[in-house]
Amino acid sequence: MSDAVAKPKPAEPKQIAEVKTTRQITAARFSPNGAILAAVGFDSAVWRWRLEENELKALPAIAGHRGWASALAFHSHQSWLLTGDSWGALRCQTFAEDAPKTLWQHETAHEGWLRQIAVSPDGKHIATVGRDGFVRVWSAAEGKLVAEHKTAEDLYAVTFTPDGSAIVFGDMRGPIEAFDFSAKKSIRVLDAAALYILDRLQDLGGLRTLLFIDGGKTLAASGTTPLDGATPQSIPTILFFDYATGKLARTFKHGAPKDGFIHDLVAHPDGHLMAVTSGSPGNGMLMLLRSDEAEPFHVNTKMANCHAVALHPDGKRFVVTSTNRDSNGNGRRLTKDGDYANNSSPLHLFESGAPTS
Amino acid sequence: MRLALVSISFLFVITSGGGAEALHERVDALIAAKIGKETFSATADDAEFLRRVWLDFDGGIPSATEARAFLDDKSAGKREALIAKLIAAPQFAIRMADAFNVMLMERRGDNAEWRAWLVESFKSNKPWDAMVREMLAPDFLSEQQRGAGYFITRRLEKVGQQDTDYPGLTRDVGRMFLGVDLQCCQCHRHLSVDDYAQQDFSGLFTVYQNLKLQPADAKHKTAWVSEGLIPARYEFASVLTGKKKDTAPRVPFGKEITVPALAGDDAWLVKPDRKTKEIGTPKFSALREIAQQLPSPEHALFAKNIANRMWWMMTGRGLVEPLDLHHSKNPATHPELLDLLAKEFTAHHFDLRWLITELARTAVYARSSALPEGVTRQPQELCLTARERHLTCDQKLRAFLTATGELQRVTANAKPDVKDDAKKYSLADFEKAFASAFANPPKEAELRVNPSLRSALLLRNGDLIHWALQPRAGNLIERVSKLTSTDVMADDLYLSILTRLPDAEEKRVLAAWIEKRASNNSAALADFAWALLSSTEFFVNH
Amino acid sequence: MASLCTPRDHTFSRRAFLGGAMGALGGLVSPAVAEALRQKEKQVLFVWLDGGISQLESWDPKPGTEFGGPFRAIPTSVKGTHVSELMPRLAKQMHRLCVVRSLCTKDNAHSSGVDRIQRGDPLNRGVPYPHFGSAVAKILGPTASNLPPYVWIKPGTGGFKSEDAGFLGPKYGSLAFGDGKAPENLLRHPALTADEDEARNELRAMLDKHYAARRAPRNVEANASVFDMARELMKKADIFDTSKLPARDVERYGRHELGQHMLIARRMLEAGVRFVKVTSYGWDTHGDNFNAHAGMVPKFDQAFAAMLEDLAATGLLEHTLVICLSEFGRTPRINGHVGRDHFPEAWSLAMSGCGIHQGAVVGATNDKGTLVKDAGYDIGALFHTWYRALGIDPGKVEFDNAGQPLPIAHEEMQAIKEALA
Repeated sequence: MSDAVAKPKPAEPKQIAEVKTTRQITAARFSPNGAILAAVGFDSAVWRWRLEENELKALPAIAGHRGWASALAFHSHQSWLLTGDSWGALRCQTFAEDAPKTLWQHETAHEGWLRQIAVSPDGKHIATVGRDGFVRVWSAAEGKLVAEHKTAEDLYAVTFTPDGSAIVFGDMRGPIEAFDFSAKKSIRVLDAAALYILDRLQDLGGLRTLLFIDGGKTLAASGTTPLDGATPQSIPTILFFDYATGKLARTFKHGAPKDGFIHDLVAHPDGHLMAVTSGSPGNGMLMLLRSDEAEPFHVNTKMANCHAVALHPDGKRFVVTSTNRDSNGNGRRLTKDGDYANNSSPLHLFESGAPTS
Repeated sequence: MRLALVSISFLFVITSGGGAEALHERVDALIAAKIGKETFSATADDAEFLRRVWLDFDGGIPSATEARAFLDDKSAGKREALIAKLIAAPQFAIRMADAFNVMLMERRGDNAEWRAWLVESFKSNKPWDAMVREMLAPDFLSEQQRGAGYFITRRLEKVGQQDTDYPGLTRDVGRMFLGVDLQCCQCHRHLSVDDYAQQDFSGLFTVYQNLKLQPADAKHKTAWVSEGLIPARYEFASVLTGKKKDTAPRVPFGKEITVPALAGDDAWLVKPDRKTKEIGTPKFSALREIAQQLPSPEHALFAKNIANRMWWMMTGRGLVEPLDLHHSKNPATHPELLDLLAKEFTAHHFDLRWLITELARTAVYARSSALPEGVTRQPQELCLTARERHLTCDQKLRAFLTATGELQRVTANAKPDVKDDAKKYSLADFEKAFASAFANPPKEAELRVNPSLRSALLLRNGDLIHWALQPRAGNLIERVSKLTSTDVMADDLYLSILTRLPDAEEKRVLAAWIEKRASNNSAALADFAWALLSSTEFFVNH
Repeated sequence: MASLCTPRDHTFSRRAFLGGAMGALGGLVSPAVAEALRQKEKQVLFVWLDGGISQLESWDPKPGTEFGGPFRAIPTSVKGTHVSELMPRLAKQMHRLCVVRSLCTKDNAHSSGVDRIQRGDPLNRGVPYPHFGSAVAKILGPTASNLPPYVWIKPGTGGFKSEDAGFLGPKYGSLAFGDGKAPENLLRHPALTADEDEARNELRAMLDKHYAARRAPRNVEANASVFDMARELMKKADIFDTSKLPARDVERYGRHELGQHMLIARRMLEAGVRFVKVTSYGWDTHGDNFNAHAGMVPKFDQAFAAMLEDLAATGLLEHTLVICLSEFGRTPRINGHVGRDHFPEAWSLAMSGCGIHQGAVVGATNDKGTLVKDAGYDIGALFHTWYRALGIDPGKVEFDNAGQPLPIAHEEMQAIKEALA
């Protein structure tokens, strides 16, 4: 697959540090200046580390959420961190000091599980989606409800269009809707039904992230193509839509049914994409790919069950969160001390070399 | 005593021609030796015997004419002659193919090449060890032999997202050809059978795990399996003890097979090549080694298993039960007999036709299924009375269509035509309906008589059943409704359906039945025939 | 991954590890007791959630704890008792339910676990024990309706499942209705009148009797029983006619597989089937457990709550024992696939109906759900409890397997007193 212009190909990223955690982590992001890494997972804490040189030093976790702290997003301009939880709360807080301050919060921003938070590129608005089927837009500064829209289904992902005027959100069954929240009008609906099956009683929805690339021309919906439910067999998938027409331009599928979901997808300033997958216990991939190529140009399968990739603003370093090995097992597994064994998420700090070409 | 036995066997050698020992007499002697104070049933009468051998060797029942001819025949050796005639007929191979298909594939599916291979094997009386060799190391490039590969290929087909069932194939090789179910030895030693060890499973598993199912292509007309390079040792550990062991490829309970130490390119006869899509053929084929070694006199279980299964086929109960659980704590009901059958079968080079003929000549086989006078309960394993045996749905169908006189018509109806009554149903329609009503679900062995609600509903309400009993040129109802006396009608009905003559009471019942429905003879006859066709007597082999 | 080492038919072959013949149709030691039991017309609804529903996402939530998962707990109609937010309708029915939260069983594999639980896991006697449904079919027989006593409504294939009956013999197997559909050929052939149909069937029965005069009765009896059952089933053909289901009921139970099957089950109970089992597959969520349960539990909640309401409203609940369980629960520990694995060590089941102490919670797990607080109950104790609820005394009623007396429930266990009314 050759191109007229040779694309810069980063040298293989190398792992430069690994940090153990005590809990599992499912979402992580670097603050805009790269000093702080924040993460959430299977409990109510918001975890933080300070990046100094190439070391991640733990900061006190932020308490106050309930259930799972399930979503997080850094504000694009201000030093604010937005977090949400599975009991429906939404909070805006500072994040750099040892004891962050809460700027505003809503205990029931959603009825139940708040799944994802998006920040508009101009920093004015926040969008949230949840299991209650609502998508809500809030003012970033005060947390005032600006608009809301009800759908029938459990909503999994949300993002803003690059000009900040519309939100795009997808539910478990496949439709991805673009909605102008000021005009309160639906712009179009894209069909991502390939990411969904009904297996017996189970609605198996594969959508996990929505991301605009190519300056807003293309919408990437990442997740999985489900084949089977219960213990899901599914193949990591990204659907690339031409946003203006809503048509599916290309499908990226990589891996075997055990490889599962692409849980996180971020765009690198160089123009390529970074994806992490988690499937059957023990299976995980970091993939670097280009949206117009069928195969990833770099795959790392050494980490198990990767749920998040946090890209440092320097474009060179990034963190992948994984899950410890032997995370599964029937029956009651005990540690050496006789306690009930838990799982955790080793964090892997990588550094990419200079591009080669 | 010993001298007497020697002279008696000497006599047997003289009286039985052809040099073969009179196995059937030895069989009967061993059975008789164990009955203690119990009594045998009487020998089956001509009608019972006639029906039994037709079902066993023809797979169907005789027409009323053929039945009458046999019953009227006064010659002394008519039973032996009948057996010989049926076994020599082309239908015998088809019947045996059906029986072995049900036994070996357990309703996993049907395949024309597989059937053809089975029929051809029985037609040419291929020895059982040769048949097993062809199944265990199929020659997929041979037109004559590739059908045998279905035993393996069907079991390796992927079902949904489940892993390829190598353990299932391993297990079935043990069950079908050695009579041992090693399923529980996959992950640890067998918990109840001391004789079965994890190594017995693993030594076989490593061979089958090394196969890959390939689709049909330019060279291969059917799905086939390719073999990889097999490791010399296969590691396994018990999930109970955690202890690690290893084994070479090995027939269960046998000697380890040495895998030649060939490395790299040297190990390949034809090297795999990704560019040409060549899968490659290794020089050493563990599959062939197992296929060579397993079906041989070296492995006592090989002969014992088939002898036991043939005994089950002919009598309805194995000497060892279940058929796939031979072990030292589960002895045969007649250990000497099983040993004898295995030994003689081996000595006769695994000639199935010979064994079947000998078993058919025993007194055991010829016994009636009616209990002895005055007996209501008896121990099951002494072969005192012939057991009522399960009929495959193929047998039931042939019997049904022969009895109703519709076999020829439906066979000729290739394309059913709903508008033309005579062309309404084809043989395929009947096969489908009978299979869905009478066959076991896949992977369940069909061993016993097992009427089901589905079969009862098919008989009661199924349209094709009803259709077969409408008067139509040449069929049972049309013929019988033209007869003049109810006695003659009774004879024809009973001979056609139950392969025997009715007794006085039965004739009276028919007469009363006809009288009640005087307005519509053929409807009354159809219902009477239906009752006979739905009865237990029709649907078992007794 | 290779198949598990204890597949489904493991227990079935266990019978024959001792070799020898399988017992004849099992009998009851005391026919008088049997007759007395038959008069009371008790029925059973057995809901089987195959694969292992997560107790943490249903009956025994631990919100906000280390392993509690994302969901909240909601109050129920029983003060102080909470269930997962995924079961809002059952929360309102809690006063009818008895939830046992301290199940602690031995088997963490499906293939053997399913059998063990459904057969009561008695002390090993070398014979395969019957499923609870087969046992009840044997002990209580069909109701006066003479419909098949043990019916199973399930997705997929139907048919006569003789292996459920274990040593009792194929007659006591379940009659499965695949996808809740009526078996083929259910309706009487249009060319026959009811009289003709009946007459020729009687003739068949008479001919069979004649044949069986000097033969062991087994096969003729089996034949007779299937023809008789066919007749009874034919009479009730409209149970399966989904066009006859009131639209309101279809909405209430839910327009999905489990809702539909539950509704057919109710009609079967109303028609007088002794034991109705409803199975829902797909609960084995080793991956994506929370999204899966988020979708599935509400559907189960809807169907089961509607069933309880209807059984109560029609008065059937008074003499119908209702049981809902799986083969085990799910691990508190969440694996890398965001799933929960098998967990027989501490899990829950729910019951209602005749003989059951409704509105009660029996037993408890610790704060994190990793251990049962007391000794915990094995499935044998549940069998004792169920038999007692049906008015059957496991101390007095035994199976007779061709002369070998066998207890109907695990000899060393007892009924759970707090669960009985």
